[in-house]
Amino acid sequence: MKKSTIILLSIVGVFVLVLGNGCSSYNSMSSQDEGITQQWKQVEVAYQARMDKTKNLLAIVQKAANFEKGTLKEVMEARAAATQVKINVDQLTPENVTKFQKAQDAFGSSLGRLMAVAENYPQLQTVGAFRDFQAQYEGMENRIATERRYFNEAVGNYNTSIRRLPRKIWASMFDFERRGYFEASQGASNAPDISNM
Amino acid sequence: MKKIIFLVLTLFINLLLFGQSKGIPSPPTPPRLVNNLSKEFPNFLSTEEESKLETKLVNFSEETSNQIVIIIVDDLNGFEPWDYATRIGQEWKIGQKKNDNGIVILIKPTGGKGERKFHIAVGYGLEGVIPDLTCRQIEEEELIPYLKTGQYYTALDNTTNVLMALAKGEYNSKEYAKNHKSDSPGLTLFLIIAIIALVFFLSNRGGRGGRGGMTMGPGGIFFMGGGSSFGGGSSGSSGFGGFGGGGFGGGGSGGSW
Repeated sequence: MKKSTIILLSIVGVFVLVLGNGCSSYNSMSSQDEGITQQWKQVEVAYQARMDKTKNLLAIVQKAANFEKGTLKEVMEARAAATQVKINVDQLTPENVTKFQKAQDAFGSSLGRLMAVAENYPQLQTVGAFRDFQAQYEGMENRIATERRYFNEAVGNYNTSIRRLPRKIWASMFDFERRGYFEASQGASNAPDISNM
Repeated sequence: MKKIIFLVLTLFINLLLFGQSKGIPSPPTPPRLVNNLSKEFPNFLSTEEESKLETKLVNFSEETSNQIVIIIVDDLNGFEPWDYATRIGQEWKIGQKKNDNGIVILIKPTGGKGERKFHIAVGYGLEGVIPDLTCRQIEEEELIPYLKTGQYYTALDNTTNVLMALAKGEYNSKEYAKNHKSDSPGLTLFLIIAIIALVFFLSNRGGRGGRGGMTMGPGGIFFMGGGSSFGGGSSGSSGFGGFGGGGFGGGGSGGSW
């Protein structure tokens, strides 16, 4: 075999290998990215459930005579603010996720305070709808925490993989960018529980 | 720049915290549905009781593909009960991948009053038929009263019976709620049945002598199906074919006694 043929074949070989790696990297990054998108929807569903159920709660509490106005107002404002913050699924940048989390956490912790204050209003405890909310409250927070954790896991895998060579090169070539995490926060993920003593 | 490094570092720590479930026991081999991992309460259930529950749950899994796991532990390793139970469900892959129809019953019997915890985690696919409120009610009616009196088997037997009936659709959560409102005739009836069952159970126990061997080797489950998966002859103590890949999203309810 001629020397030039060998060189040519090697070049073709390397080219095929690189192309193959590029394709498989691209595919796997795409599917990881898709996984993040799917999980984000789950996160949104969990947060939305809290948003929706709280609407009824606020109506009930508002009717309860002499309920502490400050706490109630705070929740309503935080809820309204959180409703405003919506992220497009293709813009899950660290900044956007942090912004979303901040708004939701503010709402979550004000809601937590309201639930704690509500303990002092026996008349509320006699309202069936309030007791139902109370019973579902823990589950709502648990679902949010769980979906957030799955989201973080999906983002963690993806972010790690796009930072490693050789995928890093492909990632920058095809515009795969880092995605944002939820950061561990008090309030949001912890429904009051005495088990941690 | 410092800020960025700090941020990356926090993210990394978060990743470590969120990405792994340290402190969650790995799934049993061979797969089992009733898992007493407690060192302080090795006889939380007697061997016979454990195998009865196992047989019942394995049969249920073979018949309906719903998987109910009971796990008894000494320590939650810093997790809250709901979190621990949910992670067990997710990581052991309890229930079928397609249906997410798994349930985890977590019991932590160690400690004083209020430290003894339980939680029932319900897989995504069963959240509809077993809503959190129903789950709580089952715990109030079937689980807590018997845990309090130390009748652990009855607690778990009753609880799994109701969960199974709900998962199977024998009755729905509304019907269950209706029949089990406190001080309704249903409760009295239920108590009577429970007492009869208990008497029956105790008398059965007394006269077990020659039958012991039979209950220990639950012949029934061996031809219920899934033969290939346990045919490896590993230890062969159970006919359970293994977990299916079900997912958990934080549904369920828990408490303490």
